[in-house]
Amino acid sequence: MKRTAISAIIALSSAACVTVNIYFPAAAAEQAADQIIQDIYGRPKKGDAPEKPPNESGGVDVDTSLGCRVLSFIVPMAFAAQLDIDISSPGIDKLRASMRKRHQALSPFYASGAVGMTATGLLDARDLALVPIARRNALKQLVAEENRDRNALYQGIARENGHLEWESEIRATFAKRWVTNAPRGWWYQDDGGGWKKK
Amino acid sequence: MGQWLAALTHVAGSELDLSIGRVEIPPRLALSDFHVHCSGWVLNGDDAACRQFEIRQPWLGLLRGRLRVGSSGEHTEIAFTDIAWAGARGRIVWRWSRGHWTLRCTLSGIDLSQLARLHGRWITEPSGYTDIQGSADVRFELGGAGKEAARFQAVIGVRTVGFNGPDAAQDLAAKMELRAAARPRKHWVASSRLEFTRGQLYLEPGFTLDGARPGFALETPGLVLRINAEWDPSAGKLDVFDLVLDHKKTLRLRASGSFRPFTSKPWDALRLNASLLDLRKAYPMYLQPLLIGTVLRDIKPAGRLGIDARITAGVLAQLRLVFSEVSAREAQGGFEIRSLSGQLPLLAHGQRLRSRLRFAQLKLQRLAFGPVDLDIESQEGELRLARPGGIPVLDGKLWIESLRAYDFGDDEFSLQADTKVEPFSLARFTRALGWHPFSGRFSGVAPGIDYRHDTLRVGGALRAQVFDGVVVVQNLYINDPFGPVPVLTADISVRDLDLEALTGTFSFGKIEGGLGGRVRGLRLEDGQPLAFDAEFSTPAKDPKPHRISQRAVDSLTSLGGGGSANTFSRALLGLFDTFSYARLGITCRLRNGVCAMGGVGPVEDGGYYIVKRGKVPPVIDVKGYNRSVAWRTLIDRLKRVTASKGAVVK
Repeated sequence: MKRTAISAIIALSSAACVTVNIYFPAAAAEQAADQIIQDIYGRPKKGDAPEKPPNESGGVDVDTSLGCRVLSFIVPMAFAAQLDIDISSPGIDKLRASMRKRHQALSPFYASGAVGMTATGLLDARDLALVPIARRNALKQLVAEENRDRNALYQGIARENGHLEWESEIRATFAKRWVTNAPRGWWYQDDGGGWKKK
Repeated sequence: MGQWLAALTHVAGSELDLSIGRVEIPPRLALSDFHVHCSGWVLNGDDAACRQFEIRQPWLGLLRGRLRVGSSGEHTEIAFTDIAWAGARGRIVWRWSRGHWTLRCTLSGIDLSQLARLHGRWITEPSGYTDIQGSADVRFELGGAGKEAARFQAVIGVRTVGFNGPDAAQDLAAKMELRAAARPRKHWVASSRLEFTRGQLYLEPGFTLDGARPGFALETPGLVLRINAEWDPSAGKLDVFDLVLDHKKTLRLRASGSFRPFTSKPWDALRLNASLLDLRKAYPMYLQPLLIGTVLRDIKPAGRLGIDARITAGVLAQLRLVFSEVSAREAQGGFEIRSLSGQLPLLAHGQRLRSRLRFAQLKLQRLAFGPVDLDIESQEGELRLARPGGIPVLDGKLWIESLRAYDFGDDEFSLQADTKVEPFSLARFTRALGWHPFSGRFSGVAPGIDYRHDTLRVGGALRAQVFDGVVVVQNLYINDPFGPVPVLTADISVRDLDLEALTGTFSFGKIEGGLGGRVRGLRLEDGQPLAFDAEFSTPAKDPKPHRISQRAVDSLTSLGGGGSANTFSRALLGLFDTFSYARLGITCRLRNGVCAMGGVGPVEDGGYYIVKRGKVPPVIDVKGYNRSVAWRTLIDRLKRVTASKGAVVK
């Protein structure tokens, strides 16, 4: 009995040690996205997690090369559940401030439908006919700058968390949350590429 | 004139109804399905007249007027007068004489919104344009013989024109004159003049640049377009002999070439020269739309710019910029250039172009470079320095041994250079960057500078001789240097620093001795450290005396967050000015905003030595116990320590 238990533990632990991998923490990413987006939209935050103080680590590196202790099969699962997305870096703060400020200028264009949210987490000047001649190029400039910041944001978050390959999933998460957090009447692109009004 | 198939459908008293199946007007126009109603039909010998004449046609809608048909011997005239159509008044007269005919038409006050509604009946897909309004006056004359048209001239004036769509117009007024004549093999030559006198226009030429479609917002008064061309219908080609676009004193464009409309590469061949005569006015209207999203997207320029371009076989083969006393200042203060003159050949297929480029000063942030005078060569898609050039910077020089750039305006743009920095003083450099100034000299050899795919790599080593020692920066990379958040990575090594000079400059409290160490894997994001492995310590066999002042001890303990809290030591501390030490040092591994700290050796009770006692009394140990310190806290403490004149003892 004891031997089976021990061998089971050993088997579990070695299996767990070999197959430990850090998967993309979708729920945490959604929370992080909501926090950033609501701050940019200028909406009061509703009970989201406070910004993590610097002493707590965001990412987790589970070292599988230095041998596996018997108890390590508990560790990966426990840590995986607590996996978080770290969004506190000076670069990300700078991008958020820049996007927050720009949002005030973009706001009326969202409402009129001149600007819409794309399926890749960016903006598109979808209907310039709604914009007076004298302001069209200014809007194009705003959209280009916002897209630049957004691309740098998705890349920056991936880099900050030590997983550059997470960029496309972070982008996809944001693409959904930009729309979910948006007020009614704003336009967005559905999976087929067509434009819909929220 | 043309052919027409008519069927008389009704005759009753003086009323006449006619159906005309098809009317062809050379060279290419054909209209079908005419229904003609005439009341007050009078026949008088060879003349016929219709007091009230109505034409209904699916495209034209309803046309009303009077009709008179006259014929005498070899002359025939059909005159359609007092026309009312689409809000316009006018007349159309067709004359035929001995095989020659002319069609003259005058229509004044055509209501463009009505015309747009009629147009809506022709086209099944929406044009994408709405709110069409305005009025037009048209006068044209078409003449020919038999079935062929031989000449055409027209004057068209429009007023209060507006429309909205990808292109848009507001209160536009313009006049166009056109003359055309037929040539053998169905060719036509034409010359035309279009002048805008009023209004605003927004035009999207349709090409995409960097994922966006540039559009030009124009204040049109003074915009004149003149064109001389020949149209070859069999090849679908327009030979443009001369095209001139003048926009008051802002733009002058001349072009000639071969144009095929509605194809994927419309310009077969094109020679174009554009002069932007006053960049202050020309930039916002003509250049800025093409530069959205680039580093030149928001500048305040002055001077003159010329652009020469050549397209051969549908492909851009030559592109050259000519600068005349150009200055530009970036709106955010990122860079500034003064007195740029000369030529920059960006592209040269099948040729080798050589030119000279010079400017008085280039400022990047607060660092000034120049004056510069360079010889440039361009061949195929490559731009390079014809001979090495030096760029004065501060009191030294940046010597460019070689420089090559490829694929401008492309995602594949890359640049390689070999450079050498001839020493310049750090005092001026640090002051220019707004840092606390310190003295020393900066030099270095940087072969293999490489910029591509948004990453700048600096090969070789940059050296700063500072505080009597040497700081060497290697493996320097900057990712996205022109983007919102540049990321810099580098390895730094430090040798033989004189602590007395260092602590003196920064008011830390005097420490005598040497210092060496390194910072590995430094990562700065937007100028802020994100990660590094740093270790600094007294070098082995350091010949300098090792003394540390009381104030420096206080500074060190404040940095470490308070060291030994022994009150007896505190009292002794106050008695002496200087202590001797054997070694000192500090390590910090920065990750996620937290510094994992260490020193020059472990202490039995779990701490680490920042300063290890010397042999000659009075001696001192400074021990640290905080293994993790938030980076921001450390920086705040350092700022406080170097700012105050007296130490803060906790």
